[in-house]
Amino acid sequence: MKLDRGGEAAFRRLYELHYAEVLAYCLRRTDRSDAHDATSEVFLIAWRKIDELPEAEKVRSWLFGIAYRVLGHQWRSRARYGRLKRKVAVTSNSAAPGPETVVVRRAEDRRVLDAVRRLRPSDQEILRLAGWEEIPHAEIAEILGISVAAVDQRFHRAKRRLAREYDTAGGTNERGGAE
Amino acid sequence: MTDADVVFAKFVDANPVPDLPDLEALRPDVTTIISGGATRIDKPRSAAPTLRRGAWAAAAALLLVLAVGGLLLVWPDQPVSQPAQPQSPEEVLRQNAVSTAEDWLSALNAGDIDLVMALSGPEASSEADRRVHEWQAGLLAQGMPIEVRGCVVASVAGTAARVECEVRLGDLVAIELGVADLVAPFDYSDGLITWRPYTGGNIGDVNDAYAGYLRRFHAAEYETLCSPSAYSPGTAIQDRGLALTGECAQLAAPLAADIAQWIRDGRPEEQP
Repeated sequence: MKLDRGGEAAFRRLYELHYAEVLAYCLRRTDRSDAHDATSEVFLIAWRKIDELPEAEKVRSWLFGIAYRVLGHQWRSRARYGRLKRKVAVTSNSAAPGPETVVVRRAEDRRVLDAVRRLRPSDQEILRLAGWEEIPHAEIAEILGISVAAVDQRFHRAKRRLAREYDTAGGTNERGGAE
Repeated sequence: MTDADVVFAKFVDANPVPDLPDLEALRPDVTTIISGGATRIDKPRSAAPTLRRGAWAAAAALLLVLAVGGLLLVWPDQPVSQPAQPQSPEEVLRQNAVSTAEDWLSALNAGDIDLVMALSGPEASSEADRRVHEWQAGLLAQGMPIEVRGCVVASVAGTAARVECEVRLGDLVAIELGVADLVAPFDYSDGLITWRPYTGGNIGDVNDAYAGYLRRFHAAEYETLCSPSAYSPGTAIQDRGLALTGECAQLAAPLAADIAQWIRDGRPEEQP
C-alpha cells in the first residue's frame, strides 16, 4: 500500500476529481445502495493500487475499468443461487424495472431503456459508456480490455440491435412522431 | 441519420444520471479510505456518524499499531504480515468464471430452468437450449441429478475463460454404460455461461440406448415425444435419434432403470 505523502496527495486529488463520475457510472448501472457500495469499493481498490496510477488522461478509464469489474463481481456475488433468483426477471429480459426506471422521466425514456435491457450485457455496457459517459472508443477499449476495432464493431452492432429492439417494442411510430 | 442513430440519441437522452454536480455532495471524507486502509466507506447518512466512525477507525488503527509494535519487540524476527494484495483482473475473472459455472450447475440441479437461462450467454439461449435443460430437469425429477465434483479454469483468453467441471451423471443409463463420469466444459464471458457438450466419455451411447429402447418398446410415444422429427428444425437438440427435450424426458426418465436393466440383459427383444 502506498503510504508516502506523494501517493496520498495523488489519491486525494483523484478522489476529489473523479468521485462524482464514478458514482454516476455506478448509479447508471445499479440501484442507489449498491452504487454507493461499489463506488466505495472502487476507491478502496484505487487507494491500494495507487502505485499503479496511470497518467492523468487515463485515470478516468482506469477507474471505470475498476468500477466495471467491481459491479460485475457485485452482480455475480448476488448471482449466488437464491439471491439471484429474485433478479431473474431483470436478467432474463422481462419488463421488471431496473434502477434506471426510478428516474425515468418520460414514457419514451422507459421504452428505449427497456429496449437496452434486452441487449446482451456487453452491448449494454458499450452503449452506456459511449452514450452516457461520453467516452471515446479508445478509452472504452481500455476499460473493457478489448481492441478499439472490437469496440467500433460492437458499438455499431449494439446500436443496430437497440434500434431493432426499440422497433419491436413499438417505438417506430413514436420515432416518426405519429403515435 | 439512420434509425439506429435516432434510437441511440433517445438512449443518450434517457441517461438517468445526466448531471454530476449534485453527486459531489454525496462524497464521503477521503480519510475514511486513507486512514482505514482496508475499511470500506460507509454510505453517507450524516456528518456525525461519519466522524464517529472516523474516530473509532483512528483508535482501532492506533491500537493495531501498538499491538504490532509490541509483537515486534517480543519477536523481532517474526515477519510482519502484509495487507492483502488486490486481486488482478485475471484472478477476478477466474473466480467469477468458476462461481458462475457452479451457480449454473446448481440451478440446473435445482430444476430452475429460468435461472439456468438467465445465467446463459446469447449463444446458449435458444429454444433448443432451454429444451435440453428441460430434459435434464426431467431426469432430476426422477432422482437423477448431476453431481458436481469440482470446477477449474482451463484457459483464459482476454475477458473470457473456459471452465471445466468434473461431474458424475445420476442418469442410470449413463452409469450402466460406464459413461457417467464426464467433464462439463463451459465458456464464460460477461458474467454468463455458454454450455458445451460433455467430454471424457461418449454421451452419445446413452442417447442411443434411450432411443433404441423407446423405439422398440414405446414406438408411438417415441414418435410423438422423442423422435427428432417431432420437433421443428432447430428447436430441439437431437443426438443418435433422441430429441433432448422435457417432453421426451417425461417418457424416458421414468424408464431409465428399465433401460439400464435392458442393457445389462444384452438388449433383448422383450422388455425387461
